[in-house]
Amino acid sequence: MKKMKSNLAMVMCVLMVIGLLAACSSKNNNEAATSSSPSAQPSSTETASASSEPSNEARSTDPITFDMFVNFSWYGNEWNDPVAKNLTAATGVTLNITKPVSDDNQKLNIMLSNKQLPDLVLLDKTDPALQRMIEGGLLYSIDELIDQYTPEIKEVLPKEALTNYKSSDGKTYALVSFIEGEQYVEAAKKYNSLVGSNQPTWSIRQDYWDEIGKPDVSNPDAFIAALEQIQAKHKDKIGFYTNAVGVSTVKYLNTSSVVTLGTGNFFGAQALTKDGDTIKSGLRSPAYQEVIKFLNKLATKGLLTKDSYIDTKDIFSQKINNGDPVSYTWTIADGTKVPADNANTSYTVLTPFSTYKQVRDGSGWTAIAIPKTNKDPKRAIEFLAFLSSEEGHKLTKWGVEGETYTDPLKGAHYHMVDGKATYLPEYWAALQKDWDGVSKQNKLSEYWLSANSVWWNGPEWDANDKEFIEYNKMFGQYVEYDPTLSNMNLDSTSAIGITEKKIIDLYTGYFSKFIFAKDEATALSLYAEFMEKADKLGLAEVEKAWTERYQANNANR
Amino acid sequence: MQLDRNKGIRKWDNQAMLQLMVLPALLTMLIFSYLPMFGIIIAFKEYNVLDGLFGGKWIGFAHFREMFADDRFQTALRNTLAMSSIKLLITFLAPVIFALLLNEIPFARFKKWAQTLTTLPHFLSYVIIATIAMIFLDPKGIINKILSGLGIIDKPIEFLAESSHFWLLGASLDLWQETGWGAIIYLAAIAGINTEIYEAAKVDGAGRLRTIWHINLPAIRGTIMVLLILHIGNIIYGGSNFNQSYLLGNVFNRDASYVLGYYTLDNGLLQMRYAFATAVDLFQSCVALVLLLLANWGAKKMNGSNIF
Repeated sequence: MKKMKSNLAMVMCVLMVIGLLAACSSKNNNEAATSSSPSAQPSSTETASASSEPSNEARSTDPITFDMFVNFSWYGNEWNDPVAKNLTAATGVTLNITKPVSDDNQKLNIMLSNKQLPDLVLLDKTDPALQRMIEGGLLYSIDELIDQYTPEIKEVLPKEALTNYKSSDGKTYALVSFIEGEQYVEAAKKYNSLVGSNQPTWSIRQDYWDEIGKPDVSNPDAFIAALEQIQAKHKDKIGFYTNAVGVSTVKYLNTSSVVTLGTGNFFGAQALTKDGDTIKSGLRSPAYQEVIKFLNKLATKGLLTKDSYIDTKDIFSQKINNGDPVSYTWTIADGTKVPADNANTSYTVLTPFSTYKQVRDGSGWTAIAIPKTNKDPKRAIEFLAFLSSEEGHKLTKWGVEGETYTDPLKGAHYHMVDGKATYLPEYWAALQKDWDGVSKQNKLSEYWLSANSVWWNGPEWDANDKEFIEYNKMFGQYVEYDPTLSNMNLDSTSAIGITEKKIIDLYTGYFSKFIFAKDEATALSLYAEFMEKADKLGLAEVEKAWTERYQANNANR
Repeated sequence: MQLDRNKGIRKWDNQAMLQLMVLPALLTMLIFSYLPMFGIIIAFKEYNVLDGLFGGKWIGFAHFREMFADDRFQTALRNTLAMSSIKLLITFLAPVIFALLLNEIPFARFKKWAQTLTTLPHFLSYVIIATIAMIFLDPKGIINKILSGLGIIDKPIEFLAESSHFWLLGASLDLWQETGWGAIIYLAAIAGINTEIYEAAKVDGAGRLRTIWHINLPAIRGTIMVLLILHIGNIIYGGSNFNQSYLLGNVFNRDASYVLGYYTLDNGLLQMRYAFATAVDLFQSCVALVLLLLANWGAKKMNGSNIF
């Protein structure tokens, strides 16, 4: 008996040790497995490295597996759905997708320090890791690959894709998705879709507004006066609820919430302002001072509570769903909520002040890069070229062409209207009703590896949507595009990045003091005090770094 | 001599099975605690992820100089020490008292319930605790409603918007969350007391309070001292300080809520300045070690209940 017991103990010990060691080495096992996979298709690998001629030859659709790392912890695709199946059928490519557990770049940085990158990397185009990979010479130049293997793709890529994202050596190392370039703006205007449901706006409770006779609220003073009247009747409500979640945790001083402080775009304050050829911080701008004065006035009248700058996103939306605020800042899509305490009314989107200004840089969102560790760069660029093409968008976004919609999976999803793919109204309605549910089934609009905004957003555009015709009239005139102000984030690990962070922290300690100062004069003197300290910390040097970055960016374009 | 060695080997031989059982634990420690410690070297380097652990220039104490010159670091250090000390004062003895009281309850069922209910909060994620706290402590939240309903206050207290409340708030949350959990170890120690001792005390005419004072307390004194030493060693890290700072801190209470853990995260990891983060943490580790040794030495001097 005793013998048996001790044998058992022995076995358990050995198992635990093995388990421990296995856990440590599982990474190596994976690598062994993946590195063996290309050898299964030796033919394609060899042809890739051998062929240097521009390809008019037929594209290979031999099966090949690429490891793709997606640097978003929330990314939900696993290449086991209908869209993936269609893409594999069309290109032969199978993706083995991995993603991190948390959004703090730890996993990607470990890959970088081991120089063990996968075949494809998909990440935010402003992600510092991208810059690091470029500087470390770890990436293939996208334009060279395109010139070599898929020159015809230049016809369909947004023209900005290969001109506006050049590195300091003049080459482009990543393909950026969702660029809103010239073609996009033109098309969006044509379909009354420049202003979409994500346009920042203010909303006010219709029932309270009606109650005081719906006075004019089209300028700050009139708005404050109206709020005062409402608040007098509804003492326990929050007069104005700013959308300031995240203001105190911004990473870069050139983030617009730094200067808007949760007021959306109503005062037109910009994080960066151009002064001839130099860039200045928006914290110096008169528009920003208007924001302070406005918020301070609200606060001194008791119309703005500290909640705005304390509440988390969850509590923020909870309070709005409850109907606690009289007015709030959010987007058009979230600007017409029905308050829980009165089902017969809703919030309504306010006409913007004449100072409303939104400057979009139109520079897109995600970027996909091909590391030099890629097992077959030819097939990789061909794959991306396919995804960038109209054909690719048909598979990843448009769906099945036809006239009768049956269900999310079978379609049909779209038909051609005046030469533009447009979702069938029934399908669009199903999407609007339950976007997540529908796209979970068919995965259309989930694989944005190289998305062209015109083709991507196009099917959703309906030039006859009355609501959005109206919104585009209200906001369209205040929307501007300025691609020259993209790619301005400074390296957070450099000396100037450290200075920038110190100013951000100083600001985080100060802005609530401006807003909740006892009167405007105090607010402005605190602001002056802050600016003096910021200058002492080196705000001017940060501005100089921005200016250099700006000039370098635009010299490259 | 020869004999001794043989004896030693024989002893080991007899215990081989038991000795082997320690192996997994030793390996775990080696792999997850000692090997990573090697990474400390980047605290003295100009680290870049691409160069790896061994690349990069040696820069001596530059990170430490930057840290000590940074007034945000000074604020964080002050807040950390203040918050931890307040917590130590308020929350350290609570589990002891709670365990002693719980032990006196004659109704077994009630005792079980009380113990379960008070232990539960320990298992809640801090994100949930923070969210509940934010909802309850809102100026229009339930706590303000109760207080004003009872006529204790006439204006809502802005618990989270006033930096002067933050330290006490943190200590109170700890008190609520950890008292029940902390009492378990004392209850176990009390349960281990030989019942004969109680009987003897009874015969000698000792009442309840006397029994607690002369039997229960001395029985758990060793445990109390060990935990106290560990707590003091942990002052510079401060248990829940980071969670509270990160989740309940905001622009209004920042003066009080900005602690070292947050400073490290914000200026180190989020800024991708890993070497700097390592330097800050190395500083904390060293202070923690010194505090631990001091506390241990003090305990030894006082009554000999030291850990090592």
